[in-house]
Amino acid sequence: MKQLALNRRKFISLSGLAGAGLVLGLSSKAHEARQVANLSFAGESFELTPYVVIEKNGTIIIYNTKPEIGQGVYQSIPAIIAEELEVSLDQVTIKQSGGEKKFGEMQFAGGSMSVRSEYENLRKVGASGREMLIAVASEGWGVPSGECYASAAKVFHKPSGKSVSYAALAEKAAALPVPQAPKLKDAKDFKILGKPSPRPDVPLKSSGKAIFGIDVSE
Amino acid sequence: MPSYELSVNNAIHKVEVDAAMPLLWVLRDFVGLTGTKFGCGMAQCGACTVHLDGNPIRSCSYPIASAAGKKITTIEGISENVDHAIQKAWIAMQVPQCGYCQSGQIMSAVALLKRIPKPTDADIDSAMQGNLCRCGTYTRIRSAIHLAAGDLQQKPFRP
Ligand code: FES
Ligand code: FES
Repeated sequence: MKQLALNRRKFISLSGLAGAGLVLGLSSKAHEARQVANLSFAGESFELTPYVVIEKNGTIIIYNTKPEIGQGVYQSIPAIIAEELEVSLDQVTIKQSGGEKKFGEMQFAGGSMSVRSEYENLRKVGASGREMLIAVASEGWGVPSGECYASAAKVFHKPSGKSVSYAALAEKAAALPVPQAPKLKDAKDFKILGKPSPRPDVPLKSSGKAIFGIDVSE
Repeated sequence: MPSYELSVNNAIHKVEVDAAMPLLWVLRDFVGLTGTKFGCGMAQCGACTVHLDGNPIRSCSYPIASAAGKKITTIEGISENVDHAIQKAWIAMQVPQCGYCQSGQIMSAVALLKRIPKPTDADIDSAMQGNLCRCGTYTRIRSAIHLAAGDLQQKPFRP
């Protein structure tokens, strides 16, 4: 446990993810099948790409690792994760990766491939997170996980109506192994994907705040 | 090197630069305001539009020596919380695509509404024709200007 705590502190200080409860990502080796990974205790494993951070204060960060050039990935990449994680987009802080090594070799866009190539993997990231959070909640309540479901960053116990926030579950979820074959949602149950929603990059692009290549100076 | 006192978004900035340096260069690299964009650098596209004493100008082709002493307003200076009427309309109509031209578009639109509070389509076309958008957001821009002018009911974000 001591060792874990040390690694965790190191990871957090190196990654700037102070206050992180649960951190999930993908292994980023381009040639291998990418796997969902728990980075909460990841020590120096910077081959791993964080995609989701659930902080203990309830902040949910989702990273977009593709350059936003008008094609809408600033929304679509986080939306894919949010759909399976069962959080609404207005509960999410979207952050843009800036070419840092830890985000892997795939930080480019081209050939309309961003969504096509990442769709499965990103859904798995979200779904694994959801299953881990549900596991912690159901164990805490002493009820079967099958009686629980997630919605809007909370886990609910159907029979009793009890609920608990992701914020309260994140730290414990971080200690669980990552389900590698999480159950993905049926498309008919999608709340975000395939439905119109306002683009989160529009306010940034209407105020001079969006950062373009020409604005980067180091 | 001559030194200039610039009033940018109601703050005074002192810069020491060549008299011929374009205002855009000074704003981006010396004042540190990168919201205004460089497109063509030859007064052809409007990406670099800012206000000088309230009038839209092409900052890429405007020497700093001529801007000193005047009131400069950039995209960063039109509101603190992205809540200028034009910005609200831009968001309601989901105008930007890549967004690169939009700082310039917005500065031209803000100046237009000051001059003509209820512009017609023809007013909009003539005031905005110097602002190019490679993504082709022109019809949304026109709707958003009407919306900001109070000529349209608030439309859903996907018109
Ligand atoms: S950059 Fe100034 S008009 Fe194109
Ligand atoms: S929004 Fe892309 S150039 Fe206008």
